[in-house]
Amino acid sequence: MAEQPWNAAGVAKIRPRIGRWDVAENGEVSLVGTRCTSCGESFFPERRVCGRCRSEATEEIRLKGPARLDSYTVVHQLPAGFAAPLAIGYAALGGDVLVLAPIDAAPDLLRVGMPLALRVGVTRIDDDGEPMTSYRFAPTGA
Amino acid sequence: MRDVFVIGSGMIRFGRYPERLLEDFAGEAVRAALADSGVDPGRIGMAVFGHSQGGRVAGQRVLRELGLTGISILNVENACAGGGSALHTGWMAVASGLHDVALVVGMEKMQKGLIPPNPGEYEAVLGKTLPAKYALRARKHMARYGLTAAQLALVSVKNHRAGALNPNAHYQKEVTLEEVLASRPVAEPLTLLQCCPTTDGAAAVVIAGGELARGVRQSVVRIAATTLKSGMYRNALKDPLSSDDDVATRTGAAAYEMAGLGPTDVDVAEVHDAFTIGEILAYENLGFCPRGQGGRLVEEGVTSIGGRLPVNPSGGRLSLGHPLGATGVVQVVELTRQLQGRCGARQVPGAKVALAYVVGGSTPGIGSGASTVHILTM
Repeated sequence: MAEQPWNAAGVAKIRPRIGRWDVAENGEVSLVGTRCTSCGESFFPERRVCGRCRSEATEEIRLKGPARLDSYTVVHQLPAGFAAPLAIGYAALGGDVLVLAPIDAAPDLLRVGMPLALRVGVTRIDDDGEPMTSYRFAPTGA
Repeated sequence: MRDVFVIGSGMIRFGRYPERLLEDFAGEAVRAALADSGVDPGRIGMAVFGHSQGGRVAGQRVLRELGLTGISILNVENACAGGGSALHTGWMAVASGLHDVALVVGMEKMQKGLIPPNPGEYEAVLGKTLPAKYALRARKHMARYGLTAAQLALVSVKNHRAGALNPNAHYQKEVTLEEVLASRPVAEPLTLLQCCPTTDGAAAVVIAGGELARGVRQSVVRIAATTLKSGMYRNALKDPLSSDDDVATRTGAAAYEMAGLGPTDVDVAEVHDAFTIGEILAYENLGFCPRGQGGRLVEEGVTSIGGRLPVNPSGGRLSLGHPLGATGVVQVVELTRQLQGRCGARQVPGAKVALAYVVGGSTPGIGSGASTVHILTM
């Protein structure tokens, strides 16, 4: 039987859209982003219209590590499905695209400016019990 | 556009009211504002309600109980900026001449704990709770400007000290710097006492233009500026400001221009301190101090009651409480009464110019969804 698109309460089940990623044969993770060919601004996740100049002339790009940590926090109070505490941060990918992701690192080691690599892992357990996989950061060489 | 005045204000004591309906306590705030104005309720042409969680036509449900039916009623959702957005809308209705008197209400009955994200908020889905959003901004400010954990915590100490003087505040108890820093971490560096509590509340103002604004019971306060802006794409790595700082700065600058005033003219302010760092950043975005100096401003006591520019004399979101849609209106209730000299122990003496700022709706890619600034003059 086909899966119903709504839950028991009649609320539509919409999978969160956190953006796409690729894992190469050598294990290297890249994020699928968009570059505006009119003004040159790059975005992640993908978008159809440029957020800066509204042009629809865009191309697909791949964003790879290393990323540079721009800001971070260790979150202690979290919704159901997460394991607390959770380190998250913004890191600059491809030079100038800020991406937010969980960080696999001991909180004491986190420093603004530190280099990070992309990886993929389970970030939380969804309402329906399914693990949600996402892109994550980890210190380079970890 | 004609001048618009606040001719009446009312609120309930903020707190937790698990046994009370929204209609019940919001109606109490409306009755208080109407009584304060002395205006015949039959003169009200429009009512605007700011709320996020009141459900469909909540404003109509409130006014039905008071017999205020048949008029234009509008329900405004703009997250934490809903109350400010409602006032902006009511101002447009009166300033344009469409209505002579309007009622503006902010109200919220809150759910416990964290506000759940929408599935389209891709950062929240990965663990960026609202406290985490502000924690990330705090860490950035610490790294760039040297803001200290103690300076952040002092915002909570200051606002709880003010809240202890406000009989309408949810929490009327002072806290020490040590208590703030030692309270449990929510999203580092923010501790529990640096995050607003979960609070129910409602506040209302009656605004009027033309002849009706004269001869009312209380001395009237003029709305010298009202601005509403939304966040826009900014790349914090390349642009001068992040989306969040940009929208606050633009909303403030537009308000100063509309009023023909500047930051140095402001005598008292209510700003968005849902988290301590929010108040520090508001100082800088609204021009109360140069960028990077917000921590020093609170440390030097400039923004305390008795300082040169008291901020959040009501106790702010941290002590008065933060029922989302109510906040933009309760700020204006507090500032109207400050200008009228009705604030007792927390009165800012001789205040003539007051500024209210709210911001809300964490939205990936554009920062804050909505921001409003109101400037009131005596």
